[in-house]
Amino acid sequence: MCAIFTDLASHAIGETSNEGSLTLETRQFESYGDDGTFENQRSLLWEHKTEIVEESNGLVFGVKGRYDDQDHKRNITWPEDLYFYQKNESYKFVVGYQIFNYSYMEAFNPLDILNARQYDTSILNAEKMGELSLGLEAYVFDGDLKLYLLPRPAKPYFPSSSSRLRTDLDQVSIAWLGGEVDSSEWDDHFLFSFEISFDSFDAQFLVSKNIDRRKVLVGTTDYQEISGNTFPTADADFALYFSEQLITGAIVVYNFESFQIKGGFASHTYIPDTEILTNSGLTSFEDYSELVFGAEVPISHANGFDSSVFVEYQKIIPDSVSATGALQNDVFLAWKLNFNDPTGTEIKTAMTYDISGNEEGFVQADFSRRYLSDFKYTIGILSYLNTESYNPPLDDLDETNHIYANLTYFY
Amino acid sequence: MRNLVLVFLFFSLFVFPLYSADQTALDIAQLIKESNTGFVGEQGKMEMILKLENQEIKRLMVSKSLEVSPHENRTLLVFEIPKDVRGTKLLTWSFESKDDSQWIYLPSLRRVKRITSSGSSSSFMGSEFTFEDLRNSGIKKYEYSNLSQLKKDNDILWKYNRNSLKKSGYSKQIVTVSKKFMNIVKVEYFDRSGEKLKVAEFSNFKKFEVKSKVMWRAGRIVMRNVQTKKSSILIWSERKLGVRINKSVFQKGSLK
Repeated sequence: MCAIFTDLASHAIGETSNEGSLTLETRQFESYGDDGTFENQRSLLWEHKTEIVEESNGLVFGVKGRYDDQDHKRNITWPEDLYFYQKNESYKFVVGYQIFNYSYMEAFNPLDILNARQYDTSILNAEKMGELSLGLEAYVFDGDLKLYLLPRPAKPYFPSSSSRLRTDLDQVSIAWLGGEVDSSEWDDHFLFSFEISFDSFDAQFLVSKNIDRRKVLVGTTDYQEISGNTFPTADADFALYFSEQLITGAIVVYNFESFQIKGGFASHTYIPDTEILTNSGLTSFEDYSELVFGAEVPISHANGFDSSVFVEYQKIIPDSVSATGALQNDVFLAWKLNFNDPTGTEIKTAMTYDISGNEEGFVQADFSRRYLSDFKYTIGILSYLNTESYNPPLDDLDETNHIYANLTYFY
Repeated sequence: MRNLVLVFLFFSLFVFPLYSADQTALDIAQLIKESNTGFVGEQGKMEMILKLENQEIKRLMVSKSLEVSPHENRTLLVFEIPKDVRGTKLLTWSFESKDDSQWIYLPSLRRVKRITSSGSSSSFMGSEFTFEDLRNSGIKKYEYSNLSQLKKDNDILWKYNRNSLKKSGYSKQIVTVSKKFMNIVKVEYFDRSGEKLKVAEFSNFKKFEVKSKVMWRAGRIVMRNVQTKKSSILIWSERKLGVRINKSVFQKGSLK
């Protein structure tokens, strides 16, 4: 498909650029007996992007895909950036699939709420999938204003029961509460954001109506009450439920002396109040707020190395909402060491820890280095803490500690 | 006789107009700045060669600059090589006296990140250049001293010290300026312990004319680290001045 597109692009008028990568991914999970999952997973991740620019118009074609010779349910291709744009000095009109990124911190990003994710990889940096959007970006009041319609929210991807990162959800569907994604109707979801920079500040304000794909309830809406107790009906469909929400939030980044301070909040208001029968009984999505604070302290070393220490904290309010997510009342600590050498050598270590008493969290460390001019390799380890205390579906992260090695070729 | 005096005065305006015993290093720095303002917009390609013991490594970038006002410039660098960082963008807003603002866009993370001021002393892409070296030097960010003048070939060179008033990776810089090119031709950098660290030499000057104003730009900068003996070379090509570039290109939101 890429070859066809590139060929078409070469015949188009305008400046064309192509880039991409091929990554050989391997991960070795800890031994867990014969449970039908793959302890060693290997896959080929490919990524291609073509951009054609002609004066004020542009076409971006960016897709990504993964091939696993063992676990064929990982063999998927998805759009990342697949859009047309037209721009002039003061506005940009965009239509197509896009990835939106509103992350300002390393771990906790309350405004980074759009796009479906691939939960086949890291919880923190799960790969995003492009979302159909139609929007206008304008440069006004010395800032960047974005207005988007997001009519077709995409479903998140969960690894199959063959993967050690299994979710045992092969027979379980994904359902929206409030949305219309499973019908032919379009949703009235939108995004409004304004970003501005002045002096040592960056600030962003955001309002959006969308599907909250970071909070999930596993259960069914097909239930009946018998003698005051609630039971699923005989033909009940169990599903992963995600709910439509209205989110309002802001974040500020400030360079103070030689370090950086960050802070933000987001308020989530769920639109439907549908009750779902879960293992814990009848429940519904509960409105909540997120507060985040962070600091980044850069350190220059005498040998020419640079490092950065990151400290971040996230608080979910009220506490009762914490049970439905992976990151609730956590501290994140990370240290990144940059060798400042021509091979771009870097070591990263990070951990999150739930300070509300659940002792949930993870530790991760990786080493990456450029090899020759077109290759880069990364080796690392990821270990989840006290996964037995996680709530569904995150409890399936139990016994998923693994080491990984990736080799990427860039073209 | 009166005519002779007038002729002498007329020529003296051209021969000795730029330096007098009363001039200070600050005056020279100001003069250089004024000579290089009015470029409107600038763009070109930059090749950086990292010279190591047994090998040379190349980097390639596209550069765009906008003169927002005589006291504010904005620069955008887009990295093309190495390929693993292709599409990385470095945006700098340089000001006359207040701290610069810098952001980097990391395409692998799809994230725009503000750079801290202390991060400016970090190596730029593993080279001998730092982010600080590549920033536009605002006049009021330094204090100046020790102006001296010497003749070299057909040029007059002014030499002075400048010490950063902001947080810097250097304790001192000795700057040599060419009257012919109205540009810096050499900077000697001293580390925080006062030892000479690096020497940058500017050459291959090319003449540009923007709205009848003549400006010179160095086409090559060699940065030698005298402590490690490593060096890095920056070479410009396809450079254009007087280019009109939309201000929105230099917005943080445009980096994504």
